[in-house]
Amino acid sequence: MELQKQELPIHPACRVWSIRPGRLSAEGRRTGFSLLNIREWASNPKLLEHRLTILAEVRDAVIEFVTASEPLYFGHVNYGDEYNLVFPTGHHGIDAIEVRTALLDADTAEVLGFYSGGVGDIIVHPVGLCHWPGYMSKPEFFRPPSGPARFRILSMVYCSKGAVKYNDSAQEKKTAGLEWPSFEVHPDFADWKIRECKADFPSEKARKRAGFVPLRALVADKNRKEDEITTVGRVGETRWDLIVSAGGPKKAFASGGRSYLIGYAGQPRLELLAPDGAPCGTADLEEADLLEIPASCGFRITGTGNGKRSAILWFRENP
Amino acid sequence: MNATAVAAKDPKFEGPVKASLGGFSFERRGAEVTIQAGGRTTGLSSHMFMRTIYRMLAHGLALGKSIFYGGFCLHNLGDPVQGQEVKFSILGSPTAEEVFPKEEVRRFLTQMYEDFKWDGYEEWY
Repeated sequence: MELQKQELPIHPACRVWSIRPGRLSAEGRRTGFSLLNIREWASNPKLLEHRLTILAEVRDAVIEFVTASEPLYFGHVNYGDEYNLVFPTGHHGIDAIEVRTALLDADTAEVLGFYSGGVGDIIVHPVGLCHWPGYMSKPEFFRPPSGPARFRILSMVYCSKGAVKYNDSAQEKKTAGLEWPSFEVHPDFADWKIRECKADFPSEKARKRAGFVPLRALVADKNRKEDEITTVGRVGETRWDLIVSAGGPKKAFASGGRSYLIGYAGQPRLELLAPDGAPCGTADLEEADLLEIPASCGFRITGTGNGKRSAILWFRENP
Repeated sequence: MNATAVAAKDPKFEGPVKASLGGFSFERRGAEVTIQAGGRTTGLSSHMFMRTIYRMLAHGLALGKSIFYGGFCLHNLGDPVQGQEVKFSILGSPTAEEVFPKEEVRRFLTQMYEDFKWDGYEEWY
């Protein structure tokens, strides 16, 4: 007997999101892999906005997800570096909005500058400073949207669970920078409208610590090699890696501890690997899928659903 | 799309509502909330105040330091998650700050959130 998948209710402010969960083979499930589509999870009508929820945890770091249809009305002084990625929803209108975040002095609330960029890039909220997504210089004129004017964005944060020894923003050589790269767009991403991310921090205090990762530029770069790993974030004893592939090299990836993959773009097709390296199932990922990979297990990108390059983010402990 | 383009209907407010904890007093009068402590006064819109209080409670007051519009701060002292004391403060000088047990703050904010609601107030989620 074939089980019918139940249609889940969708919050009205998520009605235009593209929600297409991927598939995990039964063999994969038996060996401890699990799959959750973040857009499907986040579109739950009962999910409270602006409440970060942990969906992935590796050692001293976590990945949290949150939705919002109103700006945030408070600034937060985080206790470790945070990497914030406003995740694409699959709707062109929403994904084209400008994403603006202020950094403020934690003691005086003086505005030290702004990031302004697009959906799909990563910005750093450095430890010790106050970050405020959607900060308004004249909040008294703001009125919240109502009814059909509301739409939700989906945001994810890669950060520590508590204070950690290693904060990337305090290092001489950082993962994130302040300059947008020049690059040629690979034909597979020719339809992407990429908004340049800018970091405008007149304050030296903020400029020293701030940074962004031009994730969409890294993914779309024509000169990028398939299956090459680029580290796009580091928190405590963990890292966040980007892999772009159409399934050419079929390199095997594995982590000693539990790790997570997030489908960022395209439709990667994976062969799942048991601790001894033997195939133990398959996963057909879609955008916003979160695949949990058990300790010592791994994966190999064998192709893509649409024949084009795909991109995944791999959250794991430092090798 | 500009979120301000389609604004919510102006809500109907009743008379002023007040609450206080230690030397910090809070008053919602119509669409504005005023916070006073140590001779300092700050304020912000009722809508933003209520939304922020709700988020602080939803996160179990375990967010470390958070700054409201207007400069009122709520700071979970010690371990940002496990710490059992919360400091209220208003940024700037002269200093206006006071430390309370976390449980007392939780009870106070929960009650104030209920008391400060107005007719038709809706916690959007």
